[in-house]
Amino acid sequence: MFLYRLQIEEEQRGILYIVVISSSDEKAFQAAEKQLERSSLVTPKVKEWLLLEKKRIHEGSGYVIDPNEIA
Amino acid sequence: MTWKWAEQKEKLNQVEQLKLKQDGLDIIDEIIHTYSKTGFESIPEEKLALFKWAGVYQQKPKSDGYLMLRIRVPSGLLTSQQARVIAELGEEYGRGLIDITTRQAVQYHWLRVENLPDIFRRLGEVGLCSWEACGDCPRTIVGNPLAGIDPHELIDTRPIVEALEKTFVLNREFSNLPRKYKISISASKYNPANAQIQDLSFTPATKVIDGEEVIGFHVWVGGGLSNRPHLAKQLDIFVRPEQVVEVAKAVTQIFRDYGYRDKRHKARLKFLVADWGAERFLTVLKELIGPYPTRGQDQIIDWNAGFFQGIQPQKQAGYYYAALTVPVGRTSSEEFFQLADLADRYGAGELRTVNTQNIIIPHIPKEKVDQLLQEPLLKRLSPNPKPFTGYAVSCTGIEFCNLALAETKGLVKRVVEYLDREVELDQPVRIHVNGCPNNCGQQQIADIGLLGGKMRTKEGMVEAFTVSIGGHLYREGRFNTRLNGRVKASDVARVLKGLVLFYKEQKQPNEKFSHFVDRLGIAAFQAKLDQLLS
Ligand code: SF4
Repeated sequence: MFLYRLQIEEEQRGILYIVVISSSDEKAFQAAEKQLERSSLVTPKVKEWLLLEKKRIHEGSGYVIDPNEIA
Repeated sequence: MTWKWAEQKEKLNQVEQLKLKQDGLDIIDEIIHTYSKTGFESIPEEKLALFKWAGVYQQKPKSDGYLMLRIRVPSGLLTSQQARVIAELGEEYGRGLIDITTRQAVQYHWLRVENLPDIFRRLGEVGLCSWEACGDCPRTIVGNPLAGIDPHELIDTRPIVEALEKTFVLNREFSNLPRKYKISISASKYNPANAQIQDLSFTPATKVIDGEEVIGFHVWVGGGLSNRPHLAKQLDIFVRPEQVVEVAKAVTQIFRDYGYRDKRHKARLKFLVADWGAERFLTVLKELIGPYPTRGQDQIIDWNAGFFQGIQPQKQAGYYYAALTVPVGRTSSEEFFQLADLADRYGAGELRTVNTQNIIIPHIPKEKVDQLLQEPLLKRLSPNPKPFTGYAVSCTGIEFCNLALAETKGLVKRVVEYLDREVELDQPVRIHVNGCPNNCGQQQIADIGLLGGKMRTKEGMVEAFTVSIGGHLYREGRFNTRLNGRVKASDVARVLKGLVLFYKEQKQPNEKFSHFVDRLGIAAFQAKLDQLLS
């Protein structure tokens, strides 16, 4: 399992960052989509899906999300 | 050994706790006497973390039990006998695959833990080892690959490199550092060892002392790439060749005793140097080494980025070295056997690995040069590569690396071959590629650096790259600037061609890529990239 960091551009909300745990890159996108849907009332319209980084999971793994630094 | 920093255990991160329980070097015996017999499945997770001290990593995917092993090649110095042993072991255990790294080391893949004792033993028989090639310890010493034969070096640094290796390798005083630790030393005027991106580096300098000009070194500390790159700072100190080991030990001692051990991501020496500044660092250093003269005259006149090509004269009259390009550093046992044979037949039984993932055959007498140039191996490992092929660097990428998001070596090979067919240029453009933000391929110092990630498109998930431009290590150095936008892997060749043509069409005669970026500015490149992506 890995901890993934994704960046998306959504029509209404602009740039969003999503962090998910997943066993593969492909599944990380799917998991991110689910997380995004859960956080929205209407179906989100995503213009761009990016997978930026993956890390090994251990206690304390994480990311700093800097809203000013758009990848 | 008991350390002062170990007294407050609660302040140490998990890896530090583990390293206190057991020195990483202990793992070598355990691999030989236990795990090589009981097999991969029997190795506890925390022990696998220590395998790095033996120079061994897990290969992707981790569950398959294949291992990567890195061999130290200090300053790139190899004998033909050593090259043959590297080739034999690669053939027997590593599917014949050999990679040359950006620290002049050599890497195998596909090894099993059962193979390691034989590999360790046979490497040791020819004076090679993989000890501390990975892990929180002093990694292989990077140096001038032309040491001893370089017409542009102030002194031959080989004895110093040897002394540094003797000082640090398997020395338990320095085998538990807060993080990886990279040293370089070069007396070349062209900074081939990339001094500004090392934790500790020595660069050529002179100083008039008591009316006499003395040759020595300047000292830089706290450089490093990874995902938070930092350029090293030069200290106000002049070091004579015979003092290098003393200074290196003291700097390493500072890192060991004052380096940050609470947070792993802030543990590299660069964080301590950034907090302290060069002046305070020097004050603490002088408390250990006593008074030293202040800085002298820098003798670096330019930066060759570690690239050597062609048949070039050595400082020994009548002798030449053949600088061969190994595309993206990927070679094989078969080629290593041939290189060893060529080194014996045409040279003096020596080879040199280069931090741009290439290889050099030194000591070729003038009368043998033409014959060497006819050798079939030089068709692939060419001394006169096409320009883009000759200046490309790639990290390992998705093929073997657990953290990679993109395939790199194959992509780079295809892209540079395409550029070599499509674009003719009178100045090299250095292209470096990484498969994730860890930057093993040193993309921040590239003219054009690519950083891999993934992107979801209508056609499904694809690999995609950011493009950064204008990095270099001339003078104090500068990291490249990332442009907005992403390039699909399948589109990289076309987009890079567009950027390179933009440079070609607008550059002044002999203008280097990084100077061109300075003159035109980032915005012009951004506009060009936007146009290419639209
Ligand atoms: S840069 Fe990333 S993908 Fe490439 S070898 Fe290093 S860790 Fe692996």
